[in-house]
Amino acid sequence: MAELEKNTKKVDVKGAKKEDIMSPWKVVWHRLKRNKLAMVGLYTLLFMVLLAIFGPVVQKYAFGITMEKIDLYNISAPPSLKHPLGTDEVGRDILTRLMYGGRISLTVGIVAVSISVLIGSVIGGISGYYGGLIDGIIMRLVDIFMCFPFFPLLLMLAAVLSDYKVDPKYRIYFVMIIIGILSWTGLARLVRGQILSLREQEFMQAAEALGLRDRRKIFRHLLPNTFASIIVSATLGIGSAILSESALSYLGLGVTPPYPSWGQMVQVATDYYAMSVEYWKWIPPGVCIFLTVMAINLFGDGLRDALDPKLKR
Amino acid sequence: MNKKLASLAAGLLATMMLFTSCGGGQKTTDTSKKDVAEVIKATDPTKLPEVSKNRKDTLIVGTTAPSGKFNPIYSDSVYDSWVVSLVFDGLISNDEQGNPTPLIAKEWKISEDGKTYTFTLNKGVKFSDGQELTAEDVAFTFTAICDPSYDGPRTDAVSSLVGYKEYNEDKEGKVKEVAGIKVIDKYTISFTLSEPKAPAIYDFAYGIMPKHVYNFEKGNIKPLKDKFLQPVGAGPYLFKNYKAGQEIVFEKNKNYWRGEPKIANIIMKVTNANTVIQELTTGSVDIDRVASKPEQLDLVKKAEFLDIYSYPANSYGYIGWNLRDEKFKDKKVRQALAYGLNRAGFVQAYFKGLGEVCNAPVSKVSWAYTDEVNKYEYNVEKANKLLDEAGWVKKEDGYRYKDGKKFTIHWMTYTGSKYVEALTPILIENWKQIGVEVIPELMEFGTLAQKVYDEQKFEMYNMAWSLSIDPDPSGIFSIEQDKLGGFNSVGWRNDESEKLIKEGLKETDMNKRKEIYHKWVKLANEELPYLFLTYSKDNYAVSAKVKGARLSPFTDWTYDIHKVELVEVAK
Amino acid sequence: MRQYITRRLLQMIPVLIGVSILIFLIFQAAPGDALTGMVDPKMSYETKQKIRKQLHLDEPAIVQYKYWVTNAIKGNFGESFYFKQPVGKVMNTYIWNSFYLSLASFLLSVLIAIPIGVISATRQYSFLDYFFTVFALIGISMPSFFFGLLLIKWFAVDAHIFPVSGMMTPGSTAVGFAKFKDVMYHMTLPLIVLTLGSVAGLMRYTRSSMLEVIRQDYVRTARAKGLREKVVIYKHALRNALIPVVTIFGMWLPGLFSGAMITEAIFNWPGIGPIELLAVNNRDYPLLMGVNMLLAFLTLLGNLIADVTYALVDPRIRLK
Repeated sequence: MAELEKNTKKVDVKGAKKEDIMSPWKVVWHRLKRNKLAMVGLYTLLFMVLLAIFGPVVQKYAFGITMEKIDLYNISAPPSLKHPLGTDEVGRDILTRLMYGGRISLTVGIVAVSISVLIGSVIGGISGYYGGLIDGIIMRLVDIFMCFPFFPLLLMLAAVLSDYKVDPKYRIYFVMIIIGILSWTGLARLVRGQILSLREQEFMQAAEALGLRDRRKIFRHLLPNTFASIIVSATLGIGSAILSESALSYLGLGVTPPYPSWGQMVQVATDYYAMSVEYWKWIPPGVCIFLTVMAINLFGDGLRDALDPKLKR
Repeated sequence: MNKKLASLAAGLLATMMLFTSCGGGQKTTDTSKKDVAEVIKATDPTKLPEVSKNRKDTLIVGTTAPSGKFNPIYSDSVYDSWVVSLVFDGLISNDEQGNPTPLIAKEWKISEDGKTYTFTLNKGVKFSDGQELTAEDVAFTFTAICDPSYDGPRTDAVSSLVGYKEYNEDKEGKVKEVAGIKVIDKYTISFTLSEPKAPAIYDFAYGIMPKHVYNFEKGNIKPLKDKFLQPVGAGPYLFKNYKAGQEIVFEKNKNYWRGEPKIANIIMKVTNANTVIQELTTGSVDIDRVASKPEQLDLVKKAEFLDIYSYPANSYGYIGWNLRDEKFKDKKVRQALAYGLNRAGFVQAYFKGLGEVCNAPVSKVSWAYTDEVNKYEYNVEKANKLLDEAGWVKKEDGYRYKDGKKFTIHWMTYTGSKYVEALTPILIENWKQIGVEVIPELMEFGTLAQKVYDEQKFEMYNMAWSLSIDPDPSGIFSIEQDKLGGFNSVGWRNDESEKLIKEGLKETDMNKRKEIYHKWVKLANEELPYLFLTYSKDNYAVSAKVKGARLSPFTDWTYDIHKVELVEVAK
Repeated sequence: MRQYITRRLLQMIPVLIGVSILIFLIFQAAPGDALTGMVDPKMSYETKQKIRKQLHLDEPAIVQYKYWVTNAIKGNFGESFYFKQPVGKVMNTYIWNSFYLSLASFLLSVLIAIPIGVISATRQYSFLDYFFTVFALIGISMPSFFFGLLLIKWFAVDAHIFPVSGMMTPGSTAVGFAKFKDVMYHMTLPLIVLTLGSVAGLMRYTRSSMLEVIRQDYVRTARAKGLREKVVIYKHALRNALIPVVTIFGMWLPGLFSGAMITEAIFNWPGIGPIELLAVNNRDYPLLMGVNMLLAFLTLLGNLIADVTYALVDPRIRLK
């Protein structure tokens, strides 16, 4: 397996290194700008982020609508001027809840990915650098994690969580952490593969000759060379973390009501009537998940192309 | 099935099995023979789709996926128990009012001291394999529950039998039989309890298993479990085929002792909340449960060929508060919280008229129910006044404080329930207005049950009880149940209540018993050991071509199924 | 080679033990056991305690694990608490339904993904390339539960083209081709959901592998020889490009049996996915352990198969 990774990954890395000599980020940005799809993704994403951050605030101060505000005289109302996306089964404004749900989804994506990137790159780096027994043990550990049944485990961990008196407001952060902890393995393998080949190169022999300490060698010299692939994998990871959270919330194990999340909002469609008639309750959140993840994937895909000089036009 | 029903059911999972099996009241009952089920007749049966018209010999019933424990002493869900009641017959059954009725036993006598039940069996009852059902089979069925290796949910039906302990705890096989189970002759059997227990008669409704099929050596019940999927009984239908997660096919038992069933085949088909209405209105399912939602019932009505049976469920939803907690010890506080919650508004929002506000721990369909209770109608002023009196003072932040402590309630509830989702915002908002902060904590049902019952670590929680036909509340509210793992987890210790419960359990005179329970209900309504929330309804849609179905709170579609027939729909 | 495979198989043992311990521990940390969810006054605390004792649930986690392991080594995975049946029997009942669905989705994905991957690569940056790229990204970005619900709404509820749920027409006694047709008819919607999700990855993989290959010297040589473009692409380039693609088939192995929890639940497909959910909710650890150990084993086996096929199809690779 190690052999394979060495073969497939080597080429990328050499390329990325060459770029480093010129002002690299500018080059990447220029290339990215020419990729229309990636830019569409980027702008959609920005739009979603702005909406999630400022939307609820505007709603609150301009229209006096908050996401908790119930209105039992106006339940399950279809879209109207006052409620552009209608209201839910206790009369709360769906648009506001949608924007609030966006905060949660995006935060989940970012936090979960930060965790998995942190764990994945450090473990991958150590494993690739030392090789031998340490590598063997770490790779077996990765195997163990890869054999983990993702969903049942999340379900159980969610059950464990509810055992500790975690304020429901913060419970979602634990969900993020769990998603992060369970998804570092792919990145660890990727980083390890690249480091395995990097450490054989001349600049590392130079580092060796200078007598640098291991820590410095790993974190200063080896890992930065894998940034390109880490960034790409992180970007795409945000998308899948959002999907995981929404699926978990769909199963009722993500956020805690009254806080909304997109996945949880789609759940109303398990009711036949809501599904066939009250489309405003579940289609918008579903579309939001899709659009956001799509935007992230478009952007991430463009980023990969921009970072990979082989694909230069 | 429907999410809400499912979640309600979750609370009582095992209780629901009693649906088919509990008899109720006493033989002497003459309680008003009211019609409990409201039936909305199909407006135009000729609209019956062709598919359904052409299916002349097969009845299709929608169900939630059964677990495959098709055995009278192991089934623990409503759906498994439907299968069981098609294949097995018990000693007794019950009618639509919940009164016990003879089945395999043509009559029974209860001794003067209320301890011994003697059953006389009908002669000539045959199992579907042709062998005659005798007292030996009855003894075998109940002895099987007493077996040391038995790990199913029926133990409490036999644990008060004389000799249960001796038989159950003997692992060496020295004790060959349960002393309290006596076969008197081929058609007579008696059971002796160590204590008189008014509701005990329902324990004899479980289906009788043929000994020659299910027999096993004491201490090793595995051979019996191996036959879960080949059930054999004396019931009206034969078990033909089971596709796990999909369907179960039955064929009529031509030699059924009460007469050949009129419908040749029955199929139980797995449906879910998404599919129920679709399956019903297209005629691919003839009977299924419909959620208590007006929109859904309207869709069923619009199909015009479906009858709707609608009746109050024998259950209620409630909020339990830990009475050991300083906050909830004060009756005034409990009453204030009841006044301060817009339960009618919630019922309106959630059930839209298909549910009612509940004010007592018995169902409306029970003979123990009385309407003469305080209604606790939504009244913020009254709630505020009561809280003021109780010494909880409102501060600038809008919340109440007492001895420097804020009135905050941690409310534990469970995931995956639409009921909870609708209740949460209303509860938080309503109580905020009277200065009480509620912090909801969602968890999976199993976790909640652990905290509430096994650990009693909670301030407030919500669940629902599905009740057995007999209203005896000792299983939930007696002081004896106030222990870790017991069901009086809120810790209601009230001498008056305890006295009434004990009296009710021993009293055999129906009218006196009724009086006792009315007193008890009023007491519970005054004391509020729970904040009673809602009564819901059960709704079944039944195709107009099905004649003779008798659905009620106490009888399901399998009741007297051999008399039910499929007819040509008339113009 | 044989030595390599033996070594890899031996390496599986510690990993499987590690997986089993970890799953078991997390499971034990989850509150409640198989009996806590049974809230029923007809099931007293004493009765529950008695059953706990029979199932060894009253003993510490380590002791329970020991019981499980010693039996598992002998091939006995215990009896499911919920179904009261041997774990193997329960799994056997449901896992094949999942397998049929996953296999169909796998075949369909391959049939779709490889051609469009090749087309995308050979016409890099063309309209078709963009089109397929976007299509693939839609596939990965679409939440399966949402897409499944949409399909049910459009095709089953509104248009009545496909059944809402299930795997076969109830009471159907069809055999042979009629049965196959019936199952396919019920399978269509869940199949679309699963396939859309998996086409993307495979297509992107084929595309990049193909891109790499067509820049190689031997492809240029083939072109220089004057071979027609079609022959160059489909005979010379594709065969080499598919090498890495074929190897990832090994990775699909566990997926064929794991069942799609959410998709199966939405479509009422009687697979193992919802059963696993049920096992978690009912704290049925023998069943959960059984399913997950099988999947863990298949995952490792799949990795091994991937590596071995790689060596078999690519003579440049030598396994040590």
